[in-house]
Amino acid sequence: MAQVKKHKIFKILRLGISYIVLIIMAIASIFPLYYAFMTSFSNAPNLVSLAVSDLLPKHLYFTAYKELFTENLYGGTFLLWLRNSLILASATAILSVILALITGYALSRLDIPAKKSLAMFIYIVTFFPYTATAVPLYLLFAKLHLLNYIGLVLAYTPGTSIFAAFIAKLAIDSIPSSYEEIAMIDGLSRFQAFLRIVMRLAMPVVALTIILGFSGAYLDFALAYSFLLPSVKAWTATIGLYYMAGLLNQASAPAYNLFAAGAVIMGVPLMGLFVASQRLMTRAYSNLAGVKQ
Amino acid sequence: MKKDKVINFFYIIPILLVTLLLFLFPVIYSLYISFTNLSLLHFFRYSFVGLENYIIIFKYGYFLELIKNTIIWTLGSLVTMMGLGFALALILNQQDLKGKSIFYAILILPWAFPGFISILIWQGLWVDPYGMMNKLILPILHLPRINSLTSVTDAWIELIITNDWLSFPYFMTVFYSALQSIPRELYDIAELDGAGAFSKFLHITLPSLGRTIAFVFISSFVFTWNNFYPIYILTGGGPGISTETFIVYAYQEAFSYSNFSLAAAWSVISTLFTVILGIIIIRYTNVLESFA
Repeated sequence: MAQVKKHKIFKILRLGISYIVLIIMAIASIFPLYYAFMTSFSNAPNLVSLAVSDLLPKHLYFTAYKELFTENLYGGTFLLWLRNSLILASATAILSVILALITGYALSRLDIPAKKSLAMFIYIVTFFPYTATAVPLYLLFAKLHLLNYIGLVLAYTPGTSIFAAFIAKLAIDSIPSSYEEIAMIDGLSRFQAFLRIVMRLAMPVVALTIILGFSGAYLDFALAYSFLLPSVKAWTATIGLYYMAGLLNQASAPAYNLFAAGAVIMGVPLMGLFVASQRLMTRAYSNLAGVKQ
Repeated sequence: MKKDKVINFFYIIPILLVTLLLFLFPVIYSLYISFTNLSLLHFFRYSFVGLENYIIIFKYGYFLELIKNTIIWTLGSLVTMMGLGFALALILNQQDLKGKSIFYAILILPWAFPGFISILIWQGLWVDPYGMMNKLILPILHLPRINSLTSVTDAWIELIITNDWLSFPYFMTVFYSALQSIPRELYDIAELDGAGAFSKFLHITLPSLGRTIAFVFISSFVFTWNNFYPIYILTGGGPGISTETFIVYAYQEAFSYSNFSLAAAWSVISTLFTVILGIIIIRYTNVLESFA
């Protein structure tokens, strides 16, 4: 009897602590975003004039949004930059998925000479920092006339796809190869079998790769900045927002409400993507755990 | 059979090409630049200067300070965010916990928001004395103010908390998905044998997650080591150079002072560290074993 009671107390304590931790972390997760959201509806342009009471405002001002959507900076507008960012990020995500799955498939299923050393090599290569690759990449891409979106997509893709390829390899390992063989006997080509079976069963990894590729390109500042700076119309939303809100120079009192409005708008597509793939993502790493195959 | 092997090779040609063109070539080029005096002043007519940049680094270049900072940044961030992510994953993985998916959806919000923008938001939060951190949050919690302009400790606290906020959802997701794949039966059997919560954790959970932890640790170690946005935006390496890491310093040398050759030399040194440490960890944990 005492045992059962002790067990029950332990359970209540365990769940109680769990909920407290979860609630605290949930508040911590939301607060900065809530703050940005509220700032975007305030008419206080800078930090100094933003008061604590602005976190629970009586009036919502849409001035920042109006400014964001109407302002024209040297021929560039926020909507144009946002469109650019979305194209860039989607292209990167798609290319990353293709490259990751092909590589993952090869590592998992195919007999390739020196596979182990190759895997090690492509893994180590991703350790190279941006500062070591940026200047040479810039010079190389300038020579190849690739200081544009194609160049950026090419530059963003490998990091994500190599990382994702390793996760994809494990996912494909866990799919019995007999599935594809049966499908191929039924008359599907290797490629069709790959699409219908491997890709479908590896959906969690596909989702993770899309998220990583998309957000990597979507949030990048440094590389896009060095590639696209001269042509305002080709800027991404991140660069555009940075300039429009005047964040370049802290002394010039940046327009925080404008920046926050842009941040909120930029957050929408990424959040949508996360919500859509949330269920899949919680399974993306499941093949890493468990007993060694 | 031999022909097959050759055809199979074509499957990894795309990734190899991309790797050679976008990683290996630039790094070798950087190595070359690091032996020249390429800078804005000598952009088209640069010349070979031998080891001069490296001599500058080791003689005047704050080498020891930067390596100390890089280690504080990398390990400080990594240990706290992996710990936090792991703890939350364990909490979410309890069978009798209600509202899991709601909590999960809220907790991945920091990851679902454009990172560069989030750092700028945090920058606004941390500004002393106008930011909400010092105006609202810290007074509510009865904690002292944080001023990263004058205090080195405060600067590190600011950087690591921000980085934790940015990254814990990723680790939570990784560990959560790994935890879910551990068969329930293992725990049931252990319970029959009279194992307590702690012993189940020690003998089932941890060993099952070993590979996940090792893989995530290496990739995140390198990612954090090479991550310069948070520091660059929040403290700019200050006060003084006390929060500068290799990469932030290299980035500033290259893009603020256009001293490309010195930046390349710093990058080469940093790369050497990550590659050597990475290979040691890979060998030690055997993590790539299951990847090829």
